[in-house]
Amino acid sequence: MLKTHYYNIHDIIEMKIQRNRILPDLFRDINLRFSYFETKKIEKPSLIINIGRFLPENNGSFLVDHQYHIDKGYFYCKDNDKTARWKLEICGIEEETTILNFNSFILGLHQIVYPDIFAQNLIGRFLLQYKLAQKGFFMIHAGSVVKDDQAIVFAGRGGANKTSLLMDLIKNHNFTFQGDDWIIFNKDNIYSFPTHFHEFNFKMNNLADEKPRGNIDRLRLFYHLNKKFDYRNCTVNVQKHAKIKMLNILIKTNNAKLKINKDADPSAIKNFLYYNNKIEENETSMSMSLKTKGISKYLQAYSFIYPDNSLRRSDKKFNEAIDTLIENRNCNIIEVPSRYSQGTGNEIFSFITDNI
Amino acid sequence: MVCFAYNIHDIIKFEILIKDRFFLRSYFYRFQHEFEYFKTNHVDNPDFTVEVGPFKPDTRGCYSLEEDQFFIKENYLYTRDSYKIARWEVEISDLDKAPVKVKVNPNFSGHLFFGPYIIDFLLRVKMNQKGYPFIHGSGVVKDGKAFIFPARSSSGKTITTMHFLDNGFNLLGDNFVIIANKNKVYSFPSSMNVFNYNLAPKIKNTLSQQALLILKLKHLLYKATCGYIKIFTPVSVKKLFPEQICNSATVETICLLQVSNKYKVDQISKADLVESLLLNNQMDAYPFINYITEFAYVYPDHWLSCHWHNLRSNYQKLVENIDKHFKVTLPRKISSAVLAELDKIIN
Repeated sequence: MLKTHYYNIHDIIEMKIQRNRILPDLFRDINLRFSYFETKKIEKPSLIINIGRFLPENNGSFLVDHQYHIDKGYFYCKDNDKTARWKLEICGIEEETTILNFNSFILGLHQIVYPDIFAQNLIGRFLLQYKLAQKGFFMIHAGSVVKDDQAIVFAGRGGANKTSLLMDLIKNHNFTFQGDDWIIFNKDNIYSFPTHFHEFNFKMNNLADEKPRGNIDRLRLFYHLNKKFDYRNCTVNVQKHAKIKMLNILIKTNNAKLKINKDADPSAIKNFLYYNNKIEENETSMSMSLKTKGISKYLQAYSFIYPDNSLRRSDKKFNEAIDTLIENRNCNIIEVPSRYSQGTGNEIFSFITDNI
Repeated sequence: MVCFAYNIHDIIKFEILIKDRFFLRSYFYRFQHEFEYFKTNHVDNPDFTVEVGPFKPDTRGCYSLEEDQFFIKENYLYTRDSYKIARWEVEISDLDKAPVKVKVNPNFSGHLFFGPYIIDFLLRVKMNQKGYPFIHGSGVVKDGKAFIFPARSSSGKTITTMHFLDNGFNLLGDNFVIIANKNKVYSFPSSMNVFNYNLAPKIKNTLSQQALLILKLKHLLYKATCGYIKIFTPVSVKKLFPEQICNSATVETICLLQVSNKYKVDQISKADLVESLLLNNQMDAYPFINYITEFAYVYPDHWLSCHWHNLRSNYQKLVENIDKHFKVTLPRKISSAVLAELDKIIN
């Protein structure tokens, strides 16, 4: 059965996902990670993602590595890693509407429970990022909370306790949520981008920090995720837009103590933000058995044939955008201990209130 | 414990120490051809040493990234990584000193990957640091003039190389060549990686019946697993053409090879050529490219983090002084007519 979902992201961009699904939707929030932005109708989608079987039109293309079929604005390949096998086709890379066709098979439970997340994580998000960049809006891998219309941004690699810290600040110190994985920025404006919002909502209401402790918590989470959820009326408030006030880099160490480098060197901050996105581009944020890298290899193969393409130009644009984001900004590097505790949250909170 | 020593044109020396007995057999099978040309009995002051076998990482005071997949501190990197069914852990320490100490502990199928994934790349990074970058491509020589064909794998390098060797050219390398300053190029005759599609008749004649059977079985395995398992057969270059290996030459022409439907020759701008050379190198660099990015996240000014930047400037130096550079688009099946056209470009 063909199901169509429409998304409108802050009136900046519109997106459509079409998928073929026979089984009932379990874990809808995990399967469709952008559900927060779902609307009834859109006018002109910039990005169309079709998930399911398709026939590629790879005639007259360049062939790289016996695997990647490339033409101007066109990419097709079959690939596999770990327990997954997939094929993808991207049409109209240089045009206004980009179409992604994706078909995958994953060995095990993934295929039954949430098969469509793979397309969105492996390549859909990257294309969304690229489409946003064309309009002058950029996604960074960071979380953000707001107080008095001032956004405080926390960027960092996975496992640096971003989500736990944000939960702590929202619960105990009256901040408002903007996003825990990605946010959108344009000059000094920060826009919300909540992904897996239902899951975050459950964690906020029922768990102490981001990781479920024990099987009972996990079962509760699974039960909860299958219930109906209204993304617009829920206990966690989301602030759509705010001005950036402070930017913090979180980095996890093996030391037991928290360390804060105040007013860090802007070039160091820029480097952190740039590589943070670069690494995250490749990340599929899936379970360990399915961690696979794809997009940067595809990008390199495409650039090998067409060295000057708009995908690479948007990377340069992003680099310039970071410059304006951190210019004359209050930037700090926070070295987080390997075990997150309430004390760490309190210490960071008092640091924020002192320096805002 | 067994030790193998290699010396590459007196630019880089390195040692491989193997503790694991099982791995020793696998090593003899797979890697003895890879650096066979550069093997020596003993080296002084190696640039890096590789120890293979179980080890205990020293992760005190490290930054931990990616949910504890990477541990990084000053001049130190430790990671656990996997690709398909292969798993391995690597520890690289003393990055600022000589020798750089590398410890690798691969699992059963990790043995297949640790050579091309870790050692090859470490070699390339170290060489580039000294100003001798690698180019992924074939190189042939006539009268001291070198013709280099940078290309992705399976785009007809082996077939064209064989053609030139038959016409009295000498070989620099089938897969890689080393660039030095003043347009000099050094040979890197690594083993030829043979699979069903690049089995040239000249290679086929030298292989034994048993080797051909194994080759067929590997292709069958590739088909049966829908392309999941792809194992190349290494063939020693030293055995194939012992007379025709040339040590060094001066670069005359660079022809970037690409694969499409029709034969075509285009001019390529110098800037585009540098980008293509760089991307060609980067696409071979998995998964080491990820290690460099993770390291650069914490230490952006370290020489390891500047690797890609330095590589680009090294390529720029090379391309600046060369007047003849083309982009050649080859058809998917290379006929003798196409090879004759290629001869014209070189002459």
